[in-house]
Amino acid sequence: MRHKNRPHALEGCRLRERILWGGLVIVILSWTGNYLYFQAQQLEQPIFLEHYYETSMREQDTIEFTFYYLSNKRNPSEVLYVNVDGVDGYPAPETDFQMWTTTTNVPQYEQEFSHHYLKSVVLQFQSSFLPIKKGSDVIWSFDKIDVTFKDGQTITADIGNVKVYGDEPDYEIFDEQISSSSNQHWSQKSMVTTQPLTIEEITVPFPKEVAKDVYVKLNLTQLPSSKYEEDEPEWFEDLVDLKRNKMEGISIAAPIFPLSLKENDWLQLSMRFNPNRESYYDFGIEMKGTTDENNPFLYKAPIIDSPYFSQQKVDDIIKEHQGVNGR
Amino acid sequence: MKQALNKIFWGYIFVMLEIHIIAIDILPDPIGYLFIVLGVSALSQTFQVAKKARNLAIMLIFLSIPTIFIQENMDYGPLSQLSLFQGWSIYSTGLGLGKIILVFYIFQLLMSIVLKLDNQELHTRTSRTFKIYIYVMLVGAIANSFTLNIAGHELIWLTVSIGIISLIMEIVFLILLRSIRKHGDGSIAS
Repeated sequence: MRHKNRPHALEGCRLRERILWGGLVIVILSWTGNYLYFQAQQLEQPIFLEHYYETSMREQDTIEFTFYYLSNKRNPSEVLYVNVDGVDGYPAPETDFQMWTTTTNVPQYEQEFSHHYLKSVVLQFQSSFLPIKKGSDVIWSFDKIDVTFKDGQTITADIGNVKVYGDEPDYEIFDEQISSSSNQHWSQKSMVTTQPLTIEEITVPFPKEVAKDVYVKLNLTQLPSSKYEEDEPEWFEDLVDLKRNKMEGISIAAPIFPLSLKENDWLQLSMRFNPNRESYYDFGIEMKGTTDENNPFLYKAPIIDSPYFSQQKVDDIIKEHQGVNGR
Repeated sequence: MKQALNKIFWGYIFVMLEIHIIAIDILPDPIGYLFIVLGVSALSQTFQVAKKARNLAIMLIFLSIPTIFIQENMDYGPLSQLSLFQGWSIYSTGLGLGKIILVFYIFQLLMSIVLKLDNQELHTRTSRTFKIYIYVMLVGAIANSFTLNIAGHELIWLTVSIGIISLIMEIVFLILLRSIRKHGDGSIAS
């Protein structure tokens, strides 16, 4: 019995030894394949996203912006300093010391993707070093920054467009009543005129890059009768928030200007932003006009909004950038 | 033989607990492999196949020495990608594969033992456990390689599943060792 069984059992063992080595070869191939794929996903350098920001130097010793970038998860890049038109900017110091001491090894990020982090950096610039003077009506505008990371790598990054105003006059034209906004890509503002005035135009800044992704409607107690009809932008359907249904009034693209208002007239601005865009917003919708006393005014309805990124979109952005860099 | 199987049993527990209870170094791997070497050496005169297991276990004693000194952060979580392929990961993956090969040889040894015991039921059980263990561990090692390229919930789900399944397999292996020891006790005087 014992002798009968033995050759059979050893035969089985030999067969399985082949399976073991075959299996181990597959394991090693699988690791190699995954590692090669992992390597192929690594960015040569961090990718800065697009930002459309406006700020003014009014009463501030420093100005700051939050920039967002994609970085490899392995060895995530941290900004050491940046240089814009010869002006150095530095990341804002950590304010939360508790966080600093307990999480030094834990990477800070806004969003996590399979191979990348979406990271942010708050950059501060000393007002006194800026190429424009506080209070002047000059605009400092830039779309590229030289970024040096802690690992010594320096890149020139396209960051969209940033405008810094030397001054931002405060025209007391409106009493602001209700102002609401959300991270769901909408914002709303209602106000009352403090004096009779004429609105000549309402415009979205950065017309080339931003205008197509921002939809603004103006609502008044008595809407001007206009035959103008405008199609809603395509992305409008992608807004999931129910608020979009409450968007009342008439598009600012409609030929309703100039628009004369009396004192204590109510008006409301409703703003919607393309949720599928890839850029960060911090600017104001501009309302230009003249008071009945013939003083020109400029009013800005601020917008701060961040896009939402899916894995797919991150992949697309990386593909686009690597195409540009010739990789 | 009872003592030899006992040593393999405890040696394996030393090796296993190092892997599954994170950052606990009180049961160092090399001592576990040393126990296994002592166990299989005692059997190598009766069973030829024990020599392969002994040689590999001796290698693993030395190869696993770094696990005593390095704070072992077996990453089960979204951060695991950070340390992957920074040397340590290649090392611990290789060590894991070495352990699968060692268990394979121990299984071959167990097959020879149960063959000698002439216990059909135990033979079938050992043979079946042998196959399942090796297949599951190989599939687990393949699945592990994909942790490089996934993130978030999927990564946690995958690493936890692999962890639980391999823990179950190792317990099944230990129970089998126990059973063979018990049966061996009655059948063969050591």
